[in-house]
Amino acid sequence: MSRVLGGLFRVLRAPGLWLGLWLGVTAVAGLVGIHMRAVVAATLGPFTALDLDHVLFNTFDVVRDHPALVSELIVSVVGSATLGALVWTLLAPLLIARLAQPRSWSELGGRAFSRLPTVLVQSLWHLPLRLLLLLVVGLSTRTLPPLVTWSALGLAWLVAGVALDATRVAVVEHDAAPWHIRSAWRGLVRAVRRPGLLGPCVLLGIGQLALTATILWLALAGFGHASPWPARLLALLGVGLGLWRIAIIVQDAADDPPAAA
Amino acid sequence: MLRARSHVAALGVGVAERARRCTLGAALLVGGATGLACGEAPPDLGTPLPEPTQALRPPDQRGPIPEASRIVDYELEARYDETEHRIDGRTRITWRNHGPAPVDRIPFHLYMNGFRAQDTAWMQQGRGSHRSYGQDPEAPWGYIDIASVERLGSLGSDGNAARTELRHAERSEPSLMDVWLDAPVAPGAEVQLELVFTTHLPKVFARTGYSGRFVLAGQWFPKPGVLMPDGSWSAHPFTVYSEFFADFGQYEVQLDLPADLVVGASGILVSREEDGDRQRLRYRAEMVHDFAWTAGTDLVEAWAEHDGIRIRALVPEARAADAPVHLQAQRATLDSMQARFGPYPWSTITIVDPPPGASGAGGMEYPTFYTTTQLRPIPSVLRRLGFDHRVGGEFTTVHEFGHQYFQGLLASNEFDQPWLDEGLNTFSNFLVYIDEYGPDDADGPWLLQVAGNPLTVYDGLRLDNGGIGPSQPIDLPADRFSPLVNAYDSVTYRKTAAIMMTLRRLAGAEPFDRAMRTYADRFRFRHPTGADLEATLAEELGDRIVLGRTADGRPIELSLADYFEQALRTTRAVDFRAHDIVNRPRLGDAGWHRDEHGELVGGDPPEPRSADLPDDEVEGVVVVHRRGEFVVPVEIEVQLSDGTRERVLWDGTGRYRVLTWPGRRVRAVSIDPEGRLVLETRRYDNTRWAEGEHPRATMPDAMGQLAEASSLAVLGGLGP
Repeated sequence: MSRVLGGLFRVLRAPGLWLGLWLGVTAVAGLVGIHMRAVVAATLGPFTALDLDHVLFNTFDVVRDHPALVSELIVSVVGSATLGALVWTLLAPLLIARLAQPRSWSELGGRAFSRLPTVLVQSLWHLPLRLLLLLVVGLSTRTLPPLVTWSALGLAWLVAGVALDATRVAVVEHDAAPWHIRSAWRGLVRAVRRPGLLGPCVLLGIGQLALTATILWLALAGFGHASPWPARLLALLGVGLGLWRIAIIVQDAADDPPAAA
Repeated sequence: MLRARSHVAALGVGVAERARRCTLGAALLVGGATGLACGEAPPDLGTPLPEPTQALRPPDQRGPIPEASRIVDYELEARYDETEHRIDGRTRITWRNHGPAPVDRIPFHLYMNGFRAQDTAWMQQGRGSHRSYGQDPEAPWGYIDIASVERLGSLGSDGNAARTELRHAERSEPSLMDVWLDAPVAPGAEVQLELVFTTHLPKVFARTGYSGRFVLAGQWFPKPGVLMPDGSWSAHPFTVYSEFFADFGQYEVQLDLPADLVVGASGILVSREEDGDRQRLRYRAEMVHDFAWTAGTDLVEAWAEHDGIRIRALVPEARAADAPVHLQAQRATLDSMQARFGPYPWSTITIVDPPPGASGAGGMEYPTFYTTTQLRPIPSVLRRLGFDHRVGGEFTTVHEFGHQYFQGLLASNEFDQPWLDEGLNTFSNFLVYIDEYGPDDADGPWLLQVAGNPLTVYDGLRLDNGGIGPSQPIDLPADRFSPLVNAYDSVTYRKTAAIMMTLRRLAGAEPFDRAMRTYADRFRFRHPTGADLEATLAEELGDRIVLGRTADGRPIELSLADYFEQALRTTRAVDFRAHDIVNRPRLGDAGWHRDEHGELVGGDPPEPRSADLPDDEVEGVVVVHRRGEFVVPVEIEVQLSDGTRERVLWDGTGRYRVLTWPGRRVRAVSIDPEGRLVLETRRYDNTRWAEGEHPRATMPDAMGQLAEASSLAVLGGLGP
């Protein structure tokens, strides 16, 4: 529990980091929304009215005539996801360094910049490990009902995420072997062997997934008439949960440092 | 005993399987959805009901049956060999000549021969697949072979009928055969024929055949064509879309099957005898035009009784929980259709949900017997979040039972005018949904929900009725529809339903429903044509339906003949567009004018731009464009700046209609605001707002917010 609370305090002691990340996220999402509005408005011309009693039909009716709008939406979402994966990877050493301890801007920047290549390499090492884990779980649950199989695969994905963060923390803060796959493997082993670390982190990951689903549900349920602010505030919460998850791993490593190179 | 044993065993297996899955699910902490499913009680399959003693309901419940409609009676004997998937059969057919002239040749349908080779009419169109199911390479072919045809004469001294061998020959298209009589049958007389045949079933991919030990035998015996009132024969090649057309009559059928099979069939079971590993079952069906049967080992029976009608469902063990849903859909459909189209005349109905592997048999109608499809329900967790549908097996049950009326009872020629059964039936299915779920208004019940947003029955019809784009007219014989054009389903089913719904919304539900009831009452146990339907509706609703009046009192009418001509026999689409809204200065008297002395006077400058003018100095103008070729009256609603709304009815003639409101500013226009024209598939351009005005909700805002939320979800929800 001290590990979980310690992680939470680390996040609360870095409000600027949390709010800054959220502002960045909302700015990107806002631009995506503005772009989509402009494309749809240009496509539909004067016929933009939405019949709130028949939003599904109205939407199908429009995209049947203008299927490119669906492509535009898909590109926007996939682009956001790709951008997210890239940015969160690039920012990982910065987040870890800031959550580890308050540092001056120059020290923070220096550490983040100097450890970025090793974080990238370790992230690449984790790709085959993650695929292997998913393969093993998928094969061992393939005879079970689909809901169980997919749930197990989801859990495996989250576990692999915790392992990746454990490796990143080890190389950024604890001088683990920067380039060797051994560090990636040790991160996985550390995550799996520590239920007190894995459990809360996986639960936070599930919480993030639930937030994602809630944001999408709100967007669909309030299609055309809901305020965008509930989704934006949920994103704030989502960013906070993600930081908390990393901070728990930072706290765990601080309490019991991983092996250095 | 067989029923009870299979019933209990099936439930036992189902519960054990569910318990095993629950344990695994809990162990893996997969959460709510599985946990909720584990708590479900075993399905209520009802109590086995006794077989009705009569195939028809009592006369006071079933309505009148015209004796003249009984044309052909069958006595069928069939033995099924499940290792060879072969039916050895003998049929004794009594056919009455109700035509105007003697008959010396009777054409027969040999439908199973449609699956005999790659060059049959069916295969030329279908190319070995039907819907999404393809031929099995191990057992691709089905066929029927006629060994002999004999005419039976009067009984001899030995008690046996005199027999005369008749010449018979398949046509070049093997789904048709001719039998030449040794002597003509006079009008009013009858002839008795006996045919010996062997039917080989394919592995099921197009409604009929076997899968494992399951068998669905449809169109498995030779059937004579239909003698039309003018003395010509209606006997058609079996094609992908042609379905079936036959006369009414009595069926006495004896089936010889393996004893462990659970059996269902058209009509009522009269007797059952077991002889070793075989069972002999006798069925009787009265005043029907076909007979089908099914058998299988892993079928669970479920029962219900409704309005004196015995309902029996045969469902795969693994899907026993679906049975109550099918039974409830059946009850609701019976209620709706009996109220709208008269009493269901038969005493029983059997529902079959084909097991996995036999899905190609699903979704087909036979008299008092039909096949449905798997339910595919939405998990309860998602339903609570507003995700649901009513378009799975539940709809199939409603649809296939609907054919008991629009095909079983009003037995139109499905080859010449397939829209009369598929289209009118689809229309009636949506009426069932309206009756069951309501409301019967401009919105109607939903078919689909996404996060609580409904897609209504009218929305569904609009989205897929073939109204825009390459298409074929509705009123075509089945073989004129090409799978390559791919218009048959949307045109025959949905566009016909949209035509009828549009007419109902324009003419009014009450008079329209009354007219359809007249049609159903008048043509029960007959073969109504499209002309019969159009004439009945014209008779009941009037040739010209007055929908409203112009400002000068001139009636705006819908000509039924014109409506049906456009809707059924052309590919014209209903499509309107709000072309423009202009708020311009009213005409004033600025400028130079000559006075009474001929001198130019005045010279005042023109009015400022309309945006700066008070409303009473503005002339609001709306231009409505009929883009589609279909001419039909349409209502136009205009929203004015003083908050009032005005409606104008346009007869739809001409390409444009310009409407003006001197002294008033127009905010918005909406064409067909109540959605009466269900035939109109494109509606987003029906509404338009004036420049500077803003609707309550817009598509760009909605799509923009969806994109933003999706981006927030993947960036914020999932990261860092």
